[in-house]
Amino acid sequence: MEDVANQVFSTLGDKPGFQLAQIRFVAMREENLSYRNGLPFNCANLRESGTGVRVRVDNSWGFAATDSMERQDVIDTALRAFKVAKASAQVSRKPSVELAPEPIYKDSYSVRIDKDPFDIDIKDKMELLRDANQATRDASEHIRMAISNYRSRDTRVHFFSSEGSVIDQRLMFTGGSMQAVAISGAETQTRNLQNFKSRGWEAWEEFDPIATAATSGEEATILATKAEKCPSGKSTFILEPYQLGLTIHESCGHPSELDRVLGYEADFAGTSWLTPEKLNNLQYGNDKINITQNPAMEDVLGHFKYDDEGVQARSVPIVKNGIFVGYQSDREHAAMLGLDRSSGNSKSDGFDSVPIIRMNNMFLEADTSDEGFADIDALVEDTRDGIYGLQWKSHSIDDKRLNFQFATQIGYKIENGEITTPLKNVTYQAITPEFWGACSGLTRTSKIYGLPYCGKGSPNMQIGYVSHGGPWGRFEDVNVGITG
Amino acid sequence: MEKNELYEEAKRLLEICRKLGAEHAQVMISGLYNVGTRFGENHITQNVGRKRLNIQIRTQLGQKIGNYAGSKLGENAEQELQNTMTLTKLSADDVEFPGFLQEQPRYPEMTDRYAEVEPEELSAVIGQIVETARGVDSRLETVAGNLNWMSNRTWLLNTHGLEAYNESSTLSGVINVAARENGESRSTLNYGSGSLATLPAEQKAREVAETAVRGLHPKEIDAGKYETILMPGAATALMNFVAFGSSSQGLVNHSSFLKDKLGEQIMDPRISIKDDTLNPDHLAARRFDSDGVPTPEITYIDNGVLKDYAYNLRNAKKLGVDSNGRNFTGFQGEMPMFFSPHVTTGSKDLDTIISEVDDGVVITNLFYNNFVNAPEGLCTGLTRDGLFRIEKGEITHSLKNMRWTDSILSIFGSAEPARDATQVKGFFFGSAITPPIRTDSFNFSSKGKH
Repeated sequence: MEDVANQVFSTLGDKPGFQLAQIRFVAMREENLSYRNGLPFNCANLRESGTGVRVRVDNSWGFAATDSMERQDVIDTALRAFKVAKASAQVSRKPSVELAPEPIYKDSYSVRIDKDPFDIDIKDKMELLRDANQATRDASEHIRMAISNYRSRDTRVHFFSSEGSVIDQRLMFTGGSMQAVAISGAETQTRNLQNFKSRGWEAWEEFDPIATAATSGEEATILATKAEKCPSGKSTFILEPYQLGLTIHESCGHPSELDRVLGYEADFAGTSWLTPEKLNNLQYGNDKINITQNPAMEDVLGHFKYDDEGVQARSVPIVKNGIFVGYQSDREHAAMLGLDRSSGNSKSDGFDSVPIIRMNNMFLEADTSDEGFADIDALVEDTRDGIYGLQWKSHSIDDKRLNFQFATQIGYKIENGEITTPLKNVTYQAITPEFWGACSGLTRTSKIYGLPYCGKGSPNMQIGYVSHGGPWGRFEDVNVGITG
Repeated sequence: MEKNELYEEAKRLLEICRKLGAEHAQVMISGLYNVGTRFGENHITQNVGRKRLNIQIRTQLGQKIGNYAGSKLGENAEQELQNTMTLTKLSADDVEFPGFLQEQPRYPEMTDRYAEVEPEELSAVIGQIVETARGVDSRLETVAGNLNWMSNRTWLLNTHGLEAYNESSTLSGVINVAARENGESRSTLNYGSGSLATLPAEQKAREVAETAVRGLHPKEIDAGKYETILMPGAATALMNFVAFGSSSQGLVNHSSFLKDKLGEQIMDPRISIKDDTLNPDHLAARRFDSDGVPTPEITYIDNGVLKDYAYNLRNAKKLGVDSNGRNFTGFQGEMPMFFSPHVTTGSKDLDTIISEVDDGVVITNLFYNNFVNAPEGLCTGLTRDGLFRIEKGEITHSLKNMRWTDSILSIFGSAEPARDATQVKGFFFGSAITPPIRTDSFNFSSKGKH
């Protein structure tokens, strides 16, 4: 591959206006197995391999891709990328911008894989899924739909840059979801428990699919048969790490992506209220709020050592003691803002996708001070009345990421420091800085979950793999129980 | 790849499946040619040219099924399909699998078209869009958007002898314009077309720029129910929910708000919606679905009455009906849906409808819409890029954005389409053709901040 890459660089290097070329040879395999109501359902293998070439010419980008790694196909694709970049230069940015600098790397890296999932006998996988599916169905006679899913993806990326970087990475994720639909009379309720990690088969074992499947069935039954309607009004509201992570994803993750901030996502995802003059000047939340992005953290979904521009992943604070202090960027957008280095967030979802700014692992820091609560039990005990919401059901937020409204799958009343009645259709709505400014307690314990579905990019949307979470958090005077 | 090369490759893959022990197999192979150009802040920011194959193979052994999805297989085909056959053999019986079509259907007539454009051609159009939009008013500062050319040649073959071919070329795009004067006003417009020659780029650029200027200096309104005119972009966003609700997947999964409502009056009698699958201007136009079943035009909301759901072979078998050819298959599974809705127009033009509203609003676009609770059809989202007040039959000023939370069936329960329809590029499906629609009541649940 290196030989082919060098031939591409020498072919393009003499062309007028050529500045930079990045080549990714990508080979990906995935296994996706499911059981639905006792039957195997949509069990599939996925294989994708090809080459993506990104070229910078006259300060404009061009990208071309082919589902081949053969020498001549790659050279032809590189020439195509050059032609595309020339076309971009017809409507180019003025004034032009240099890319933020990054050291040259020659490295090989793999995420930690104790047991290769693709070496596990498929028969064993199917039997485990069948048993998990049965565990959901055994929860009660109210279970009308049980879906048990397992996924593992193995991606090998060889990256070459005309600047000199040569990086070989093996990235993997493994996990699944256990979904139950329960019906009682006119009430239909769903519970879906899932998790994914940048690990091998051991991540699936940790997920404990049979026990998790049983829990999904039991809690769906509670929702359909016993849960009360969520009350409407202002309430103290506690979120567990999964749903807190979703709230971070939408209200902090997306608005701190620098392409959105600078107007380059306006046609699809929107813009951002975190405009450049607010950097280091905005009270994003109160002083309990510390939000960090760190794709270098091992094991979590979205983990990598180098992004798709060859920038080394690192921890970057986004909110520190309540103050907004950082953006997620790539090399070009970092330079536009005058930052001295990219945060390493440039990612694509396949060989034929162009790298764009993506969040990967963003989380709320636990409160390790004396004010922090030991765990969720201590936090609930300290709460006179309120609502405890768990896991994502629905989400919506405006194009600048200020007004959000989310629903959780299940909730519970908190009365006099105790969890009491289960609640269904729990919704909460808030304005981003008001919500994070109303945090009244975090635990010292925390947890991070993986979510393999984040859509961004246009005109062809890409799917990102992200991790989020943190401690259990309590927020005051939150609007809950939103109705039509 | 040319049409005949794709055909030969599909035949080769079927033969390999047979050789590896499959009783039957089905291959769908698509050759994709794509140029996708994105722009922001008045210049091109991303430009992508792709050529690749998309292959989906299903192998059958009794009632055991395995699936393959991916890119070009080449010389590795036998090894990769061996993995799929292993998956097939080790699977348990899937008694709900309906089998592959065993007879060659007669497909409806549709105009085929396939063409490839060069990136310079799209860049030239983008240059015109930026120049035209900014020229409308001195307060128009930045233009963003995208333009996407997609051409596909697709063969679907199975070992029972089924052969189906479709080819298409579509152009779709978005224009987003920002006007600034003591604040910012943005407007967005999605559009689609079958060719560069018929793309109304400059007209759309002017239209969206004018809306952005009208949106400057917005005022606030309170949350509550308002008589509302949904412009085509907003109406299309709500059609997504109707598409999900009318999918048989929601019947099987118990998640549809239209479950058990067949034959019922679910919308205003003035609302009729057909799935206009054979109209080549639609981004998802096709003559057969991913099962190989023909896709006739279907009116699924007829004068407000729910007449049909979107079926694939699997759900049709489970529910005891015939498939109507609405399947879409991806790596993550199957999803039958009406992908090309066309809302019947009404008798009054938009200006007349506005003149009849005493106190209401006009919504240009809706954003980040989602079910709050799918089985009851309760949804939420926000207005975006153009919310206006109507007072005594006239649009008087722009408004700050609002969050809406409402039932889809309530919104369309008393609704009146206008006379002139527009094609709008959709999000989860191809595209919709819809006029503006007035509804008696649309519920805003909270205020936005901009």
